[in-house]
Amino acid sequence: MPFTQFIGSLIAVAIVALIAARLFPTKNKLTKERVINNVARYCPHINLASAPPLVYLSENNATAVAVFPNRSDGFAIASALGDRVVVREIPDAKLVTITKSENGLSFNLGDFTQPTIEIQMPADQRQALISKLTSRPSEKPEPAHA
Amino acid sequence: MLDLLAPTQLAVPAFTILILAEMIIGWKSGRARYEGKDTMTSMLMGLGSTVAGALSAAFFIGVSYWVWQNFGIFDMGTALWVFALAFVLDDLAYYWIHRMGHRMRWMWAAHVIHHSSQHYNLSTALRQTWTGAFTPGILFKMPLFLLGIEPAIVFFVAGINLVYQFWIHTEAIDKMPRWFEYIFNTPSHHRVHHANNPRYLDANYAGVFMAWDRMFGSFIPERKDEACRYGLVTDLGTFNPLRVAVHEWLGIFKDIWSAKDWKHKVLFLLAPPGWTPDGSRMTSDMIRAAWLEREAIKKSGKVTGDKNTIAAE
Repeated sequence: MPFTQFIGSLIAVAIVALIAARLFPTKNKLTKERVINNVARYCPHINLASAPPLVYLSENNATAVAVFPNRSDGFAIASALGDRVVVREIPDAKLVTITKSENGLSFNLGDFTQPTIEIQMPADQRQALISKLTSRPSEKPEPAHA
Repeated sequence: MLDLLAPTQLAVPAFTILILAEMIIGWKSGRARYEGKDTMTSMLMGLGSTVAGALSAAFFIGVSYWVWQNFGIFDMGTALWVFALAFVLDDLAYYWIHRMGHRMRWMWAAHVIHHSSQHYNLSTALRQTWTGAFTPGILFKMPLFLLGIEPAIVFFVAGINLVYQFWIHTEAIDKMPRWFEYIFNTPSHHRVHHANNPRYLDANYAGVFMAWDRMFGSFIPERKDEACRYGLVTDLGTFNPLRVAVHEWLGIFKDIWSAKDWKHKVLFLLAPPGWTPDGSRMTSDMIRAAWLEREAIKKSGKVTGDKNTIAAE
């Protein structure tokens, strides 16, 4: 492929993507309901209907942590990706590195496509979430999806 | 060597125009949905795939001609019927390449890219692999060269096959006429193929003719009562094309590195995606089995109020 054709293609890609972004702006932020629906989709082995997860939404509504009340281990992290949602089930808090960042919490997942997830939240909420995640006794990890 | 046109290269301007047309239709009617970054990633993957294909073309053309010239059983010539025969046989080869692309992790590492968008629109058709050259896919085309069909003809009809598959990546078209749905791959059949609902996993591998899926037991029709939900069983958390392109390869290398014995090392390459020696991850068969079990329990009334089947988004 000639270099000029490659550059021309790159420009065309950028223009088409820009048109897509203008015609279909991403408006939907995460809500508690949206988080629960997506956690239910990703974690069908957990019956959320009888015990809905406790959802901790970030200040910018871009990420959330869902803690399962009836399970002694595990939680899920939901994050908005464009207009869609990606959920990571964490079977055991010990499997991820959780660090306090300036405005919230940072989860290091060791996932190549989503290495770190930042959750912005006020200090009091942050503390409440840390105690919720770390105080529970852990069990064996649940199977993860393919 | 027969000098034939490259159908996919010729079709690129039409692809762009049709993507813009689908965007406008979707914007006006709501029958198609795009997202800027997702579209950008899909199209960059397409561009990268073209570059990667050009880089590896000489090797594959060389190997194909070497097989055809030295081991071809017949001299099939270049008559029109040879093109027709090549189209059908190449479509059969495509079916098996595609099926193995879902059932063997080595080939899935390249093909997963095409399924990595949570959207299903014409730009998704362009989301193609950069690493197909590192898989054994070409082996499935060898029977055509051995039969005596000139590789240039096979590459030409394979290009037409790929061009055909572009228009089926859309939600803007519901169903085609019944006779057409029966014979050909359509948007409806291919939506099922891209869906990650447990009911629809690993189905409808056809390129052009649905006969192969019906013949080899992989056909699942789209249901009105279960909308397709697109993407991977575990979706990617990035739009970065480089991460999209290599993520599964990295996963394979990590698994092989940490495998305890050679049998497991080989199986991490050849077994279906999700396979592990201890069953700690789930293959599509396991996901479907778990879903069937949940459905059976729900039907028997043992569990009430389970809302986990909702189509989220």
